[in-house]
Amino acid sequence: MLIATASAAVCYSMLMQPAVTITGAPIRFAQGNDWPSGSTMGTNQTWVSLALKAYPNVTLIYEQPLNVSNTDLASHTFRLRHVSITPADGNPDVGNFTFINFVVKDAAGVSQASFNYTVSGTTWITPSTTSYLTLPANTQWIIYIETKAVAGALGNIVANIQISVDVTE
Amino acid sequence: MRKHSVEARSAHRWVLLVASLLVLLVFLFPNVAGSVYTSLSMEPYTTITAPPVILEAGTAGTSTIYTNNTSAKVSVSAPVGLEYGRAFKSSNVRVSTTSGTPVDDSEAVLNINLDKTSQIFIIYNAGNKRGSTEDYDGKGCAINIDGADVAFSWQSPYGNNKANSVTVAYATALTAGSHTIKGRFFANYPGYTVGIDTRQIVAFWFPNVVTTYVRSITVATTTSATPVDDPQAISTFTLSSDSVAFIIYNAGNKRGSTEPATGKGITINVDGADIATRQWQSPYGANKANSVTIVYTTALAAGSHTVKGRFFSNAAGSTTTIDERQLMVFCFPASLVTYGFVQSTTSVSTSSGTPVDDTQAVLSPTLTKDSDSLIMYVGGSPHGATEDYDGKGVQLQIDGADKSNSTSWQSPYGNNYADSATSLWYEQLTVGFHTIKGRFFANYAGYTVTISHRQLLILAFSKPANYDYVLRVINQVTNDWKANLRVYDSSNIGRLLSLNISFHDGTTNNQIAVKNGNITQSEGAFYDLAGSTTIYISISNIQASTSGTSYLYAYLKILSPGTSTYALYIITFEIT
Repeated sequence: MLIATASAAVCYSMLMQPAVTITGAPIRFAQGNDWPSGSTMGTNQTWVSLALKAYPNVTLIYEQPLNVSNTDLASHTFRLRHVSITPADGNPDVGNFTFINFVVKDAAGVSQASFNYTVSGTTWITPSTTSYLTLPANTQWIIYIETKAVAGALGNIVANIQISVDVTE
Repeated sequence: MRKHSVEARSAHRWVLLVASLLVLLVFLFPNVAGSVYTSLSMEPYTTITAPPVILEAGTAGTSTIYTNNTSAKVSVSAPVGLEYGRAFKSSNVRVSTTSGTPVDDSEAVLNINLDKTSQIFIIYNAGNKRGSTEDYDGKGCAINIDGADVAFSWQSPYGNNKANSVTVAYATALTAGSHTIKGRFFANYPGYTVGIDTRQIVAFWFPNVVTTYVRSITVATTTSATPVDDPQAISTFTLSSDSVAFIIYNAGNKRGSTEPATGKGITINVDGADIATRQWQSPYGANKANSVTIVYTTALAAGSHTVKGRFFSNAAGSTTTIDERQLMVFCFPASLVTYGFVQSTTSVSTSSGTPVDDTQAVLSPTLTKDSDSLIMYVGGSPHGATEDYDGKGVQLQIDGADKSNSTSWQSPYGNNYADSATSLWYEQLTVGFHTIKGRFFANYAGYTVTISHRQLLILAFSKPANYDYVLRVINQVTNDWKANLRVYDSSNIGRLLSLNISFHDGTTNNQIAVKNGNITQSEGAFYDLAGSTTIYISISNIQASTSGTSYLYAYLKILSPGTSTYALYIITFEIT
């Protein structure tokens, strides 16, 4: 029955031949003028680990620790999207931080988007995903960072953040 | 039945088709909007660490250091005082001239800079001692402002090379900016040498005080032996608050004007009453140059007042002349100036050739603040008092130290003729008790001279306060940093006449400045904070126009050299 049915049907085939070329990402990270000591730039500059400090009751500003670079001949859009943060909400260590703020600035230093982590008690107030920002061709923008711990903060407490930078092709 | 079965199968296909299209649409829209995208991953980790730089209290003012030593409040007091400026120079370098028109006294030049339009008074007092070359016709002196001679006075001595001094005063309004003030002098008889051995020139200026002044060259004469009004020297003014009035009256005649050998006398009249003392002077001879100066300081209540210069002949019936006079009255709010004044009609004499105390001319002010102080002493004797023809000298002593450059000398027409001299000084006096003395001596040792009337005054204007070490900025690590201060907010600073906040570390590096209620410098240049060192923050030149509390909120910026990574420490400056 199955064979009879198959033989009775009109059938044709299309051929799909994807050619996958390994190329560099058109948008990638680049070290800024204030590249923090101890930071790591991943292979292909698509992953970065930034070693930041926070001082109690002092605003510490990294004006240009990291750049977002468009090496393409066409503009691309990107956005910042919160993925995760530790220590988790409810952990008393959270209350030692005041804020960890990220600001995307264009090449002229004009703010394009803010992406701020603040604290209420022992709860992180995480930022909403930014809108897509258009990064012109062959241009670098700046990730500006401010940190601050509360007065009397305990030392050696670490806040780990993962932020996704979503880039449209 | 069969027909129904076929229709049911068809319907089922339609349902599947629509469902498939919906699924496709659901996936299609995001793909259209987002196209293909990739994600980069940024993973900052922030570690709380001890700050490398901390703040600690200094030794001046009151500092509150908050938790972690990363923010502070500094409290200091601003003395409430007058807004003023001053310049002074004294010198004992001799200069001479034979010129009959004014030439510069190169030792009497003041270059000043006014922040705003101000009322200014200038006093120039210059003379020669006995034995210095001086023509018997004597000399004239002038005050020159920005190239224009604006006031004159003249005097002649007993004879050639005898003591001879001249005082000239002037008041006016000067605009903001730079100005040059000069003392100038000339021979009363062109071609004959006159000179200056010692001189003082002082200028005080005030943007916000009540002043009235007259400088007139309208001739006035009298034969009266009792004071009459100098009709050109009358000032009426109104005070809105209780004040301290500083009054100078200087009147004289040039060579050739009608003047008796006995000379003239003058006094000051305030609201219809002559003050208790007078001054007198006699010239080289009849119709020779002859001038007199008198000073007075008194408290005046709010309201209308009239001050007059009055003059008289030292010989009843003989005409005495005023060719030019200067009368000036500067009134200061009573709460903003410290003053002392003494006048006396008790005669004292000496034949000492070195200074002795005029026991009637002593002031003992207690200053509550470090002060810029103007001191004047005028001592004289009338016609008939014992006075050697070589005359006398006067000078000032402060806290036991004779101010030799304050010395002035004068000789009369002859023995026992009228003779007075003026001494002028300026000094920064510290807070506390001081003793000011007028002293005098015979120009020819062994011959008696007299002071019958004298006026001694001090006007002390509170200096801005200084706090050298209000905070310490301590670098706890071996890394070098750069530091600066920047104002980010303020309140009620309109009352601050002046204030400077600086880094102070052997040298001073100005960071923040306030002038006349405005922030004139909000941020300073970066200053090196080397590894494991300490720098200090100082507050200087601080003064307020009124009582109150002002705040300056500033960031102390600690910059990692060669980067744009920096920490901002909050410092609050509270000024009461």
